[in-house]
Amino acid sequence: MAVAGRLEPDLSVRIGSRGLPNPVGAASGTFGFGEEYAPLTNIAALGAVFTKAVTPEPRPGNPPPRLVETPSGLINAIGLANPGLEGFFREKVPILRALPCPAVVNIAGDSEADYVKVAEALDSCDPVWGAELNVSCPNVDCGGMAFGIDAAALANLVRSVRAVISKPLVVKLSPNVTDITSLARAAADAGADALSCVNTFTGMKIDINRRKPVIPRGTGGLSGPAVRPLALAAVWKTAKAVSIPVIGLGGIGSAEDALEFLLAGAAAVQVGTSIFSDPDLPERVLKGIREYMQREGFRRISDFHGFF
Amino acid sequence: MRGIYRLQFSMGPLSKSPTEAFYTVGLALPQKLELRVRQIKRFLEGRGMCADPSPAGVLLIRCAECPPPPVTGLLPRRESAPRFSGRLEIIEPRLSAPSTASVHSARLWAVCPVDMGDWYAELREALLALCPAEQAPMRGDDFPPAGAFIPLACFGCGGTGPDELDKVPPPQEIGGWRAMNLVCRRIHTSSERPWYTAAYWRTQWTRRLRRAPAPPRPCLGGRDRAILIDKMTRDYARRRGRILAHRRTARDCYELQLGHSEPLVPPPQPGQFCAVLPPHYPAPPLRRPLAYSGAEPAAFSLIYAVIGGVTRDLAELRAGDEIDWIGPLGSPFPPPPEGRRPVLAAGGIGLGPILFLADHLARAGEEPLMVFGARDKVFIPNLHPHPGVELRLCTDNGSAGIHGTVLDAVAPEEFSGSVLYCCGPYAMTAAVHRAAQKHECPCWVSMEEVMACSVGACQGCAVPVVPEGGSEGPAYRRACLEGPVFNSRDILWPSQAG
Repeated sequence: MAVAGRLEPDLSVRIGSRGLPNPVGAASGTFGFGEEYAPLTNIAALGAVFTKAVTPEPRPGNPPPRLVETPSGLINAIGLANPGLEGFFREKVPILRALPCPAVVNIAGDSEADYVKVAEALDSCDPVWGAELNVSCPNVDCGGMAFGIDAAALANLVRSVRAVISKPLVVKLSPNVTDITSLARAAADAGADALSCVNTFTGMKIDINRRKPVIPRGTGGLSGPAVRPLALAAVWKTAKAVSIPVIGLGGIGSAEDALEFLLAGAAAVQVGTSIFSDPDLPERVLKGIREYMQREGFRRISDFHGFF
Repeated sequence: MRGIYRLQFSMGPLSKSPTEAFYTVGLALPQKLELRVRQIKRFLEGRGMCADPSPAGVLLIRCAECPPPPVTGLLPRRESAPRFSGRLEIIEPRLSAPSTASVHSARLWAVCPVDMGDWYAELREALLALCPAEQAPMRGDDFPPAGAFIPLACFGCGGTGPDELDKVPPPQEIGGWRAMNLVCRRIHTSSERPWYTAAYWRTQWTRRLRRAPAPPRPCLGGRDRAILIDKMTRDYARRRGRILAHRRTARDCYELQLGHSEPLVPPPQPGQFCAVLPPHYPAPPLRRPLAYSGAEPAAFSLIYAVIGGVTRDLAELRAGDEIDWIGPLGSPFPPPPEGRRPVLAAGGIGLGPILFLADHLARAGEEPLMVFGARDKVFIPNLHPHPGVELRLCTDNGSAGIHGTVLDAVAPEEFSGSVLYCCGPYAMTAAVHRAAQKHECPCWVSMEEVMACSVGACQGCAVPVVPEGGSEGPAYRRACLEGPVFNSRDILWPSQAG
């Protein structure tokens, strides 16, 4: 119930043909497919769960260690560990069906055909709300990232996937590029419904005693509060460059952080690394956004935009 | 996850007379059947009957009658077909935790039939009978084959208190049935709809039970066991509590005692861990997994070594300060096989879980041998294990106890007929595994990995394991979910990796 004199703000977010109940999601890779967090937080309060990436074939992931903590951050090199498309339908779809919030399935692959195959399967899968194209995973040898750094290749990929999926299509951009806006425009022009901005930053940590990188591959993807200012800048630039919604993510650890992203032009946010330690964070972020909107007299999310 | 199915029973409102109670039958179906389960649900709902295919694939059907007990008034009768014709109630599927749930627990005696083949066929028929042939959403051959699952059945002892347990006649082996002690957790989601999550597989058998003649126990490997601990039965939660006591026990070694705000039943088991939020979160940003070194419903303890920033911050906390943790997590050490003496090896900060296990086993009537190895005597705290534990100490420099490694402290003849449990540095764990192979004894090891989410979502704490039969390429298990306790045979040790 709205308190007298205080209108309940409209928190819904429209992406493509469908709407999300609120602008706070759980970022891909940090929330699995939702079931592990059921005992820890109220999943129904989430705007969306962005799932762990799904590839056509099962992948075991990278050899350990896959994680290393850095100042205010976390470097990971999981390597897209997932049960494959078949395993996804067998093990994960029943979970998504019981999920009390929209599920956006993250897609990864080595080639255009891989992405198209998964996208096609997802389009006819009822519990899937939409798809997020992962063209920015820094932790696998081929594919993925190749699409994320070349505007022409990205445009081709988005067009091919767009052709087979009618559900909302989000493209998750890599920050490891010279000019993120050219990729953002390429994806938007090719038919993406929204952009997730941004994936992890390439990072490294060396064990000085073993004189080797901690992550066997050498580098991994850096996330966490350490990347927040960098991600915010990327979101601001991207939001100015395109007219489709931008979903901001990168180191959000409080409602205030999320408000910064919304003011920078994001239409929604994802909470990632901080969920590990603070599973209730998305709910608190949402509460903070609602209170801010009530306090400032904002009626809808778009009221955040255009201040600078 | 393939090939293992579980049949599990938990029961409805406890009552003095089991036959008067409503029974909830849980049938854990293999994942591939889940879509069918949805159809069954629709079918049942269309007829005013309801079942719940939960996300984990547990089909819960409530029925008014339970298989009537044959002996001692309590055991299900195998020769009569169970009737599942009673009233069926919907039990909603839920993924979100019931935040206002009050947890009530009661001890139940349970029987575990060694061979449930016939009875299982009866259940199958009964379930199929619920769905007329023309609309039958299931084919008989879609059911898990008999014998391929780990069966569990439990029945009421009457009353609700643990004291009632003592009034139950001692369990005996009756025609292939073996008794064990289970804990059933009931979650009240609303006043009129109590919901029983599952029966817990308790690792502690009572001494009385141990004396009962037991047929060979099915040998459950690490992976199978992880599946046994069904996601629906996991009761980890984010909790806060105050430090009851905090003391330095040796150089850089601290023992922390924490209180639960409300009693946790069953208490955490040896081998499980909790993920502690850094005192100055968000710097650093990740929780730290710390193994329990002792636990009871109202409190638990952790032993940790100061090795980095977070443990240094922890060491500065005083009694009365608050700590935030997620727990209990991971799978516990399994109980020792019948007739094998537990030999426990701990090194460095692996002390906590091994000490917990030693006390736990000694209380259950075992006579464990516990060996603790450290670099120097200054790292060895004063240990006061249960009187039933035989404790040996060893140091790398000979400053206390035996001069050598934990393996030097165990005579070769003590290995034979033993079961090994180990927690410590990787090199020590690998050495204990090799010793176990040499002496052909089972060996359970607790693996330490860096963790981010600690609940199985992020896949960060991968442990390389031996690929399952026939499959190629590397295989990994999550230390936080399938572990941290693994059968050492399942781990891919560096020598095997080439």
